[in-house]
Amino acid sequence: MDEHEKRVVGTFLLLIGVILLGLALEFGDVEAVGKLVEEIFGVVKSGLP
Amino acid sequence: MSKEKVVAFLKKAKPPLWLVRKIVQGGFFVLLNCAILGVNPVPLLLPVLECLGMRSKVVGCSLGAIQIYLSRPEAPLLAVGLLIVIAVILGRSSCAWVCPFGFVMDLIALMNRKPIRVSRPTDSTFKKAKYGILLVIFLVSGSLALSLIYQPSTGEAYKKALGSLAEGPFCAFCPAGSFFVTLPEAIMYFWGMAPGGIGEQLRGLPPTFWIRLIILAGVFYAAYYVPRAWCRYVCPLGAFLALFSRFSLLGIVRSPARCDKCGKCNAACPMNIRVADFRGKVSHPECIYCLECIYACDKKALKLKFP
Repeated sequence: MDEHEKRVVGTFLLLIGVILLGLALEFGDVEAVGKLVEEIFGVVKSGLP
Repeated sequence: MSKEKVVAFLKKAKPPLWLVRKIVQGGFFVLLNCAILGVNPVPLLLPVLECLGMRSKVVGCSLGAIQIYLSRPEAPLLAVGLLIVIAVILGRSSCAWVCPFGFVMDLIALMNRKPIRVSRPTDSTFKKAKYGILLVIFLVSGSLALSLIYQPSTGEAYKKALGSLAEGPFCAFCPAGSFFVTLPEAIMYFWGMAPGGIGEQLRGLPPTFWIRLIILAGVFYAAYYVPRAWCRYVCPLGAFLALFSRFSLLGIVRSPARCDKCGKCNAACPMNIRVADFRGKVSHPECIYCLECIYACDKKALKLKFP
C-alpha cells in the first residue's frame, strides 16, 4: 500500500470515527460516559474487602 | 541580556529529549489524576491506561470503557469513535507522551543503563502477542454482549459464570489497574487495620489479587531489561491503536538524500523499529512518536510531518 492509498484509507477511517462521535452525541453517550468516569469500578480491586 | 542572546543560549542549551518527554509525561500524569485535588471528572475516554478504578482519575481508559459497555450491553460509540479519531490523527503518540503506565515503564527503563536489545525475529514474533490478547478480549466481551442481547437468560448465566471477568476480561488482570488501584487500595486497607491481624487478612485475599501482583512484578521486571516491553508485546490498547496508526496523518519523514545509514535512529528507537530502512514516511504501526530517532539523527534526515 503506497502513501497515497494510506492517506485515502486514513481519511475514510477518520470519517467513520467522526460519524461514531456524532452518533454518540445523538444518543446521549456523552452523559453516560460522564457517569462512567465518575464511578469507581470495583472489578480492578480483585475482591479486596 | 538581550533577547537574541537568550534565544541563542536556549538553542545551545537544548535539553535532552528524554527529559522533555518525562516533563510532558509527568505533566499529563498530574493532569489526568487531579480529581484527588477536587477537579471534576470529564466525559472523555482516552487511549491511555488510566484505570476506571482510580479514585484520582479525571478521564477514563477507552479499552476499559469498551469492555464495561459491552457487558451491559450497550454500544461503545464514544470510546470507539475517539479511539479511531485519535489513532488516525496522532497515531500511537499518546503511548509515548500521555499514558501514565507508559510513564512508569519509561521511569523503570531509565534505571537500567544497559538494556537488552531483543533480536529482530524474536521481537517481531512477540509483537504479535498483543493482537492475540486484543482478539481474546473482544471474543469474550463480544460473545457476552451478543448473548445478553439475543438470549438474555443465557447471557445472564454467562455473565455470572465469568464473574469479575465479565466487566473487563483484560481489566481483571491489567497491571496498570494493579499498580494504580489494587496496590494503593491494599496499602490503605492494611494501614487502617489493627496490628496482629495482617497475616489472617493476607490469607483471606482472593487468588486474583496474588495473580495480579505476580503479573505486575513480571511487567516491571521485563520493563527494566527491555524498554517498553509491555507496550511492545502485551498492551491490547496499543494493539488497537496500531491497527489504525499505520494510516495516521502524523508521521516521521526520512530523507534518503541526507541519510548516511549510520543506524543511530535504529539504536535510539525504544520500539525496535528499523527507521533507516524506510523510504519517505515512516508509517510503522509500532511507532509511538517518541521522537528519539529524530533527536538521534545528526544529519537531520528525519523530521516530523503532519499531515
